[in-house]
Amino acid sequence: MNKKDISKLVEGRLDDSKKKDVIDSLLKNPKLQKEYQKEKAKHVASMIGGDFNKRNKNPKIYIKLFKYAALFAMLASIGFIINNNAKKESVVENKMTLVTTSIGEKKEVVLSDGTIVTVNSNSALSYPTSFIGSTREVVLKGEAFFDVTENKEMPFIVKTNEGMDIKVLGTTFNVKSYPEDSNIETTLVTGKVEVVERSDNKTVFLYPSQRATYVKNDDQLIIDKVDTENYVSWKDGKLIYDETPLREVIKGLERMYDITFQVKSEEILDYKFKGTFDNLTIEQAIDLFELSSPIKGTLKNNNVTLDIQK
Amino acid sequence: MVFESPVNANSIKIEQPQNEELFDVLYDLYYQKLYIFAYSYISSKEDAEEIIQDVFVKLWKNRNKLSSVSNITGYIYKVTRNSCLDFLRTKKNVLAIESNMLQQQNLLNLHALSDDPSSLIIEKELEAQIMMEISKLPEKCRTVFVKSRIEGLKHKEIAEDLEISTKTIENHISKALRLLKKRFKDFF
Repeated sequence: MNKKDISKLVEGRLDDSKKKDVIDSLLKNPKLQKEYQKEKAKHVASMIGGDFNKRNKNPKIYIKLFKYAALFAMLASIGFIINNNAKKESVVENKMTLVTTSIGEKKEVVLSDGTIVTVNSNSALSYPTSFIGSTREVVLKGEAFFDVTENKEMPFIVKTNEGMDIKVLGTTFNVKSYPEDSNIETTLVTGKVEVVERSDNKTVFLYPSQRATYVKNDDQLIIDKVDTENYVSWKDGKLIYDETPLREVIKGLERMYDITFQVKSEEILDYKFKGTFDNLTIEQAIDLFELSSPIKGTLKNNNVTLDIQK
Repeated sequence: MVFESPVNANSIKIEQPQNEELFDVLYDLYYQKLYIFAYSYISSKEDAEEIIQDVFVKLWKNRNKLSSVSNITGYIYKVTRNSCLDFLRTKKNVLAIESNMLQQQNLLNLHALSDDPSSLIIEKELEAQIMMEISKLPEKCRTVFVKSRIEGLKHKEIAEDLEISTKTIENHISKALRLLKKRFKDFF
């Protein structure tokens, strides 16, 4: 019984016998139950907010949907005929596009408003073909750097999958929101952004060189001043660390190279590492470990074992 | 027909025909979202549907009071949440076998839905979603609609605030209702 089981229960991904176990242990454990209650609420909120959860629907609405689709098709064809000469891509139906990156991969995406998003490895970004309505909304899982085209009329909103949204008018900033990390980090380079905690709509403004760290477990938002270069350098294949706990360094490296890390002792994870991995091969990266810290690494079958040098 | 404030003859004349229209709009705005919400905690589609139908029956009976409710989303959410809690409370006792999973799940969800901070997360999101729908209205129309139907201000107060006549306000509100209705009826 752990946090993962709670998420699985909330999302309905457990088979009956496992589900029974999890429910039983939740009923016996008030602290975990609290966590379930919150997770559940967040999930339900996201379902309500989800575009059109038209599946699992009563048939009446299906008919309505059909009408909707038919009308859309009609509008789309009319729109197409009208717009044919002007712009080939301007289809009326506003589809969502999903861009995903695998480990070690980076992608640059230009959105319809000219905003440039650099998506870091092992991440996903979904965005509409064109922005309609009063806001520009995209959804991010993982890490990305945003260079947002200014439009005061239509705020640009980055939705993360866990409890925090970032609202801006036009600026450059980095968002790191990997599901497996315990924090969500927003680092502002230029301009001004508004960080919104979804649970209570608490908002905080960030100014250049500030970072907002949302601690998922504690539901807490911490603001501090950072050297932004360290947080956006991944765009150029550089990982810069300054007194960073090794557990974070390892996560960064695992995302950049397709490798896994093992440690000989737990204390290694708390070691504060300082160093720059500037477009290195994994072998060079391990060498850098040995040069810049008392830690020694051995690479074997895509697996690095870290140990303290004796 | 019983009116909330029969003193103001002006408002009766205008508000009354709009109440049914407002109800229609509310139905389209909220039905699907509330159903998802109820189903998530009730774990039975039929029961969830029935609960939401009942919620709307309740709203329909009170339709003449709706325009004077100051926070409509909060009100509708509260009614729905209470109906779900009532349902879970009765279910808790129906099956007394300790090991029954559905019963356990209902108990767990009864606790979950009773938790105010958690419930607030959902209410806020519902509010945000409804606001998003409304935000697509033309600007003037939206301002008036929000002030009247969401913030619950009186026509006279809005008129003073925006320096326009109450007649214009009534026009904006019927336009908003018409547009919202059209959006849902034609497009969904």
